[in-house]
Amino acid sequence: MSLIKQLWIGICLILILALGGSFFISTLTAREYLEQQLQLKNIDNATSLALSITQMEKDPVTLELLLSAQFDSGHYQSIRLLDPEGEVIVERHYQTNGNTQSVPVWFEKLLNIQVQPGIAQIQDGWHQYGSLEVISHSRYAQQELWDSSLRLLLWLLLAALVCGLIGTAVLKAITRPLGHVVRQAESIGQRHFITSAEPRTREFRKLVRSMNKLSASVKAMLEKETQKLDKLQRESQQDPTTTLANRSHFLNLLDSVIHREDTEQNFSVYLLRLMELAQLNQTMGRDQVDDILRNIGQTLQQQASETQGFAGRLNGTDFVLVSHSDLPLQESSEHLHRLIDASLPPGNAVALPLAATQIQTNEDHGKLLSRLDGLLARAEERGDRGIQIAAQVHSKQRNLQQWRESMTQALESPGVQLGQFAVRDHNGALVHWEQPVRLLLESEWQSAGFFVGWAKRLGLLAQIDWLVVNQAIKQIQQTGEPCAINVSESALCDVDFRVKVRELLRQSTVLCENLWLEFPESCAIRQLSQLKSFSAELRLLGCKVGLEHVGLEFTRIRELEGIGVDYLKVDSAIIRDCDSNTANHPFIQSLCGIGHSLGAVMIAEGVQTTAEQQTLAALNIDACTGPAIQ
Amino acid sequence: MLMLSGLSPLALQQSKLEAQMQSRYGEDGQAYLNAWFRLLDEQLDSEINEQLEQVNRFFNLGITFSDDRLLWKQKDYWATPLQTMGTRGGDCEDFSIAKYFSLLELGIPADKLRLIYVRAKTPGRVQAHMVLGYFPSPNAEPLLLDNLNPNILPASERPDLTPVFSFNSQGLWLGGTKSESDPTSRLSRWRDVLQRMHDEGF
Repeated sequence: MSLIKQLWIGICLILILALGGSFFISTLTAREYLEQQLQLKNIDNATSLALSITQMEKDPVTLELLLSAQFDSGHYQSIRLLDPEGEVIVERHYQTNGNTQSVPVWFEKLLNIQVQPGIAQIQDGWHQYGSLEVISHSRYAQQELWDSSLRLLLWLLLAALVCGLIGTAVLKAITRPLGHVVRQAESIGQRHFITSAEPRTREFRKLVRSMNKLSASVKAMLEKETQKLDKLQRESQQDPTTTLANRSHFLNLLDSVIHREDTEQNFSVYLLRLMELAQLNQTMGRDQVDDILRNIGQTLQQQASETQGFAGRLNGTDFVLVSHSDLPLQESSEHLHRLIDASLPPGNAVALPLAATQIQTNEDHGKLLSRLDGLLARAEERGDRGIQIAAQVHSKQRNLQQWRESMTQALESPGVQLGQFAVRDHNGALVHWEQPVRLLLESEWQSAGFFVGWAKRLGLLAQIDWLVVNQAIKQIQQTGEPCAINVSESALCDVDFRVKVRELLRQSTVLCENLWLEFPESCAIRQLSQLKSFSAELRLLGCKVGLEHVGLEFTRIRELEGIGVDYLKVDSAIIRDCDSNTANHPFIQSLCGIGHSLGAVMIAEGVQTTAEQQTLAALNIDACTGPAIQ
Repeated sequence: MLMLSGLSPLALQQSKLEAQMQSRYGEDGQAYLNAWFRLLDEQLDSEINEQLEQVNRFFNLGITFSDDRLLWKQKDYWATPLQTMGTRGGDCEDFSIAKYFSLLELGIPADKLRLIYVRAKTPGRVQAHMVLGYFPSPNAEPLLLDNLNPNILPASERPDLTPVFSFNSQGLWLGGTKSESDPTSRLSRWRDVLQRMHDEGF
């Protein structure tokens, strides 16, 4: 039973005891008072009447008249004059004509007013004449007792009501901080290390202070771990001069983009080559050349983050940028050249030819790079700022309007379908089914990569995700198996979506424990506050919340302990070839360390081979998904 | 049922009375109280006339007449039998009350006894007085137990007395059957005495 309920019962008991007790005492006191008054009246009236009769002539007519006069003008139930033998001489008795009073029978029985008759002796000279017995009417007293009891009861009920209201208010005021404390304690129990404001109640304040301390120490520990991770990342994944991704990391990233389900299409790759590096080193000096390299790197990095792409340095002279742009390749290439020139010292003699092409889904990165190499050879022939682009290949040219129509059409009917990929732990037990969205476009069920870019531009992502949630709930209801779905950043930022999902899940809380919702890692950086509050709501309902494609920007996440995550899916770019390449092992291990300290299940994405899976198990990854997992 | 019977000998709380007497009036009072107990014991089975005679004599000889103003520093005070026996003094009401309750103790029913206000003509003046009347039968004339005249005489032989009003404890005296703590009883002299007696252990 909750504390509030217990306190409430306590208050009610005290109220009943106090008010009920005072009600009974008042009523009994009133009855006693009325009885005393009636008794006095009986005795006094009997004595004075007896005194009058003793003093006068006792002929029957006068006696009759005297008793009648007393009886008729007074309030008596009966007056009897008895002779010394006990025989009645004169008697007057009140006849009730109809029941004019409203006292219920049970009340009369329960609180009967009992009054002794008043008895007085009458003398006739030295002789006894008789005794007089007077009983006053007690019905009006009974009526009064009933009325006053009713009034009292009414007032006491009113008082009880007021006390109850005040009690409720006081109780609420006292227990409000308790609610916060309990919520924080529960959050911490779920490894969700939040801090909260200290309440005014002393005991609660101590408790909250301790929990805040705990949260703070976890936060500090995480920050330390993250810094370590950051260092590891720099060492294993970055080119030391330009801080761009090194060759192997870049290729992993590229693969991850090419093979990932939900990667938007329209990714372009730009390859830049700094010509005659050795000669530049000789003429300009190593330091100055390093500056140039750094500047180029910075420009590319900036461009990459603006277009949600990434950049890398393949070797001493070759730079690559993968970016997402709607501009034609020629224009964007020229733009890139202008940006780099702006960063270089004026009047330099740096030759920087550029080749560009679009990424084709599932194209091998080796092929892609050799294609770019070919293009660059031709660009070199075109001079210092030569540009060579591959011919644009479009399966189907569509404009925005057409996309809108076909997508709206597909969403209305037949709606969304969910793909199904198993996520299993190392014993082969199912963790959940990862279920990415499928949409019927061009008479085929297309994966997210096909339409997600356009859906985003058309503002349809929230609607798609809403349908996915519905579909997932329906499916869990049927199969009872855990199911993980992706929620896009657009949907997360959509208030309407969040409210609708919350309402839907509230209606089916039993299904929630099988619903896993995952958000892109970028949400934890760019939409932290929304993610925090939505995650808290979802977890309260019993859902599992996680982040996907984790690792690339992981060290930029602040307050991971405050989000409250049940699982983390590590990006395939970090997992790739981990069986043969040990460079990323410390990174993966540290990542798992942080995740486990937050109570999160660590899942590897895009596991290609069983060898990879075995290596990952040794690196403390809990579960895997990808082509190698069936 | 209406004529609630008077005191029965059983209602007397002897030890309580003794303790009260001892603490308030000492050995002297105690001795007189013991004499009273002896009287009650001896006379319990006697003829009624003998009972009347012995009780009348016990109080008339043992108690000195004394005015309330001297004894109790009040204009009019009704003393309980215990107080009367303790102080060995009292006026006409105190005599009558003491005799009344002694006779009740001896088993004479309350409806045969009356405390009677009388107008007494004594040589030189007329005074308000109280005597105890015993009615052998309901319609007979009473025998009067008086402290002015030590002899028990029928009413007709007492031309000096004129009856005014009479009363007894019928309907009032509940004789220790239950604790009667009605605060209004203190407001009536007669009920006040009854109440005080009850508290003392009668």
